[in-house]
Amino acid sequence: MTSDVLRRPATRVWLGLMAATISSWAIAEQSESPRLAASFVVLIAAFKARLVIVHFMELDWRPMPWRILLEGWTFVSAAMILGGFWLASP
Amino acid sequence: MRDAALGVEGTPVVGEAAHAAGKAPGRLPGDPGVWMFITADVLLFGVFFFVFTSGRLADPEGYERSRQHLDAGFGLANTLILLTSSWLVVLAVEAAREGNREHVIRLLKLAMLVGAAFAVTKIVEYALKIQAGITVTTSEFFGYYYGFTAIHFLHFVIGMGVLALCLAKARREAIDERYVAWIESSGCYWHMVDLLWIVLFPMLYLLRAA
Repeated sequence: MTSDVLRRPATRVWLGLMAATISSWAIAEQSESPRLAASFVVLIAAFKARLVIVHFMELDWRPMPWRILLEGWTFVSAAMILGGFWLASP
Repeated sequence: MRDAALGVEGTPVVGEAAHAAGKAPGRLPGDPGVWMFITADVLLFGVFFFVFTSGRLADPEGYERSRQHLDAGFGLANTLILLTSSWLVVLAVEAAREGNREHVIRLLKLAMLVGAAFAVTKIVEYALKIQAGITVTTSEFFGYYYGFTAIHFLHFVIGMGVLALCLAKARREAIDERYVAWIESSGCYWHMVDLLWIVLFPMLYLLRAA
């Protein structure tokens, strides 16, 4: 079972998600520029959300607009959180 | 359009592309009812994100002082745990499409075991905070931190219950199209729990003020 599992697309997506998460945490902890760090962190979160929506939830564009809703939610949430952060920064 | 080939242990393999264990394109995974719940929950958390962002805009220094009392390591561990559990559930759904009862059971058990680690780290994190005198009323930031993570935790508990039900059904029932729809719905709910945390983690733990 193990070798089969390692070859599956879901496993590649999982490894990408784990790597993106660790990178995000490392950037936030180490970065000298909080504004740049926050931008990367939020964009990485939006990218991760999309991977889960498309590859784990397996949402297509048909038959109903659930994918549009969830992708839209991801975009609005990320834009709002990052926009709010920039506005709050000197 | 049902594939009549026999899979592992002689159970019928379901679905048009059973050998690839992928979902048929253009089909909504699971039951439409679960998508109403998922929509309501993500919109609720969207409101939480707005409320938090507004609060932070009004007092960025105060929020940052509070944020520094959070340990990002806990948030990181929680994210990695939920992502891993979601992955295992995806594999379980694929196993169900292949009609493989043994793999479905094994993967769901693993998914729940990994998921349980989320509860452990959350409880430890809360306990350490409370011990240090940081509670819901400590600051606006911590009011939101406890509130949002507790409501997320409630969704996590419901998700674990849903996975447990999937496991019970896998043991007693046929791994047929009806079961596949059930586990797909459950999987999507569980991925939603993961999705919400994917946004909560950076919003609460990682946005360091300039």
